[in-house]
Amino acid sequence: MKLDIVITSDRTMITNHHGKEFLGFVATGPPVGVPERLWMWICAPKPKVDRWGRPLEAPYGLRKIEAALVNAGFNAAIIDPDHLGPHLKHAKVLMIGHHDYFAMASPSIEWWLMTGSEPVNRRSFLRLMRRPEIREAKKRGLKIIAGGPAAWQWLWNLDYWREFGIDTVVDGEAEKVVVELAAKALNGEELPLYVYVGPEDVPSIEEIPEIKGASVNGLVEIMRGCPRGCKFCPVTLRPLRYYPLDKIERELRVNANAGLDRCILHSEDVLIYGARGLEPNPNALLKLHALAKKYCKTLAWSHATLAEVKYAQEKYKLITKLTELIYDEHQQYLGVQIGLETGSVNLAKKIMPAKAAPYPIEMWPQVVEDAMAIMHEHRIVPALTLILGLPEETEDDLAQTAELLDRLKDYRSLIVPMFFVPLGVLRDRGWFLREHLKEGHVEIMRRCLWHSLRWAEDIVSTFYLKGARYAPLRWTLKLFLAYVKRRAREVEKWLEEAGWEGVKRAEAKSAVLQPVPRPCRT
Amino acid sequence: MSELVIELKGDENAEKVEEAVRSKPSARRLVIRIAANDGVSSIERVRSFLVNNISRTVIVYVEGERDEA
Repeated sequence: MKLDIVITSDRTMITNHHGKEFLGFVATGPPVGVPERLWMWICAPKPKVDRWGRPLEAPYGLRKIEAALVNAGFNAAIIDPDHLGPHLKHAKVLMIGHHDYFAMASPSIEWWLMTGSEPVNRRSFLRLMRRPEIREAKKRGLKIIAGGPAAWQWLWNLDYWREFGIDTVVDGEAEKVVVELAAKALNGEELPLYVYVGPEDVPSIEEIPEIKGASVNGLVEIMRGCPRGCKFCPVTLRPLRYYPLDKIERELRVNANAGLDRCILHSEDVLIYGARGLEPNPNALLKLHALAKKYCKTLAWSHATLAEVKYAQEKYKLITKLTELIYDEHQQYLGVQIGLETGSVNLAKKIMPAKAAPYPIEMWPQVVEDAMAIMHEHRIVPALTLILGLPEETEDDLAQTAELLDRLKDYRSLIVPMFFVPLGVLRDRGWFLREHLKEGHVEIMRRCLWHSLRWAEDIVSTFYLKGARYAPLRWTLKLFLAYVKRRAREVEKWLEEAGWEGVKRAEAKSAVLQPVPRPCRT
Repeated sequence: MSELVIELKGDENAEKVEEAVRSKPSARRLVIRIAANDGVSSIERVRSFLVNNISRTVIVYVEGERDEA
């Protein structure tokens, strides 16, 4: 098999995370308490590949690029990073994508700033690009095009851009532009150094290609965009497009034909699939889930919003109806990632005024608590994220967030604080660096940690890694959680003894990690 | 779609791009051609514009020698 275009990424991306999507988050951290090889085994085992090194499951975004190129008649395929050598002897173009090339996104940057140790996603990517087979192919004239949701990071890593010989960086929905770039690269035409795909060049629903190979853990898109307009979010800048059910079904079938019996419905908010504005469409949602269950024994939602959970249940009893449809002998819970962002009404008004809609933003803390109660009752297990270090954040904002966390302690969930990364409308703002950390931030991080540790043990044993098959992984994670608890108690004791002034003195002595220059205006 | 081609010579940088965009605000696609022999480093001249841009397609070419890997 001689390919003209090879598509790949590093091991933290080309993996199915043992069939447990959430374990992918472990790749955003450095190896803590265990050797790196064991850490990588936990989060990024090698997937099954065919005799040409094509992985059975590949990242959905790379599958879209592959499909766009194949549909346009190019000889292209996704190849596992351990099988690049033979293909790169002949290929003319290498395309790479990543969620977080240089660990600059949350939560990678947070774990790096807190531990002073590089996360494995970055380590793995740098190792990939330094492989001799890529360097040698580059000397022979290979063109390298980098894209994906972390493409923006290359603007802050020019040294690596030069070192790896990246010919073009593409930021944005690339399904249309990648075909033009491939043609230019193969014809020896001039390639642009950088492309940003604006809203008017994104593909329409009809132009979005359908995947030709299985996606990691059966992820399928159901829509693109989000109407809430939160200022920290890049996705909300994209036009809203809903996939029709037949398009979703064709992709579900690709995954089922590859032997996958699970799926992840991907959207910024699954509950607004087919919606009119933010008014849910129960009919569309019920049909969507019935369709998914036709092909999958188990399903998950990638994302939802707290306001929509509350509203959908109050007005339509939709959470009850959907979970009745989803739960059976194969599945008794549902995982989802949700943005909590802040507990402060004042801050919410500034950065996400429509986050609580259709409820007024003044109701935000109550919306959060009500939605958490609904999810707990229905065995929906959210991984919530908070943003620390938002522009214009005050001590009072932090106090309100800490207070809300106390109200959420009895709801099964993980709560992960993230440091602000300038994206979306706020992309011209300053980065949140370690020296910006305040006592209020540390208190929130402490509450999140103990909340998540309490529920993580419950989730791992009761829901997430049940069964003999997952015993080694389950026990490894339990050992890791025990280690984290022990370390957390040591740090708390030190914090109590040293006081906040002691913390700042200690921080001043330690190496302040700045993975990026101070790039933006504050 | 309305396209605007902007050529940067010498020390010209993001300010010239911003000025050009102000003079033709309807342009939805920008093609920036940087005359330089410093390859990837040329990005620094327009980075502040690229980081702030969210509404237009931008294509940057560097005319001259690219850096060797």
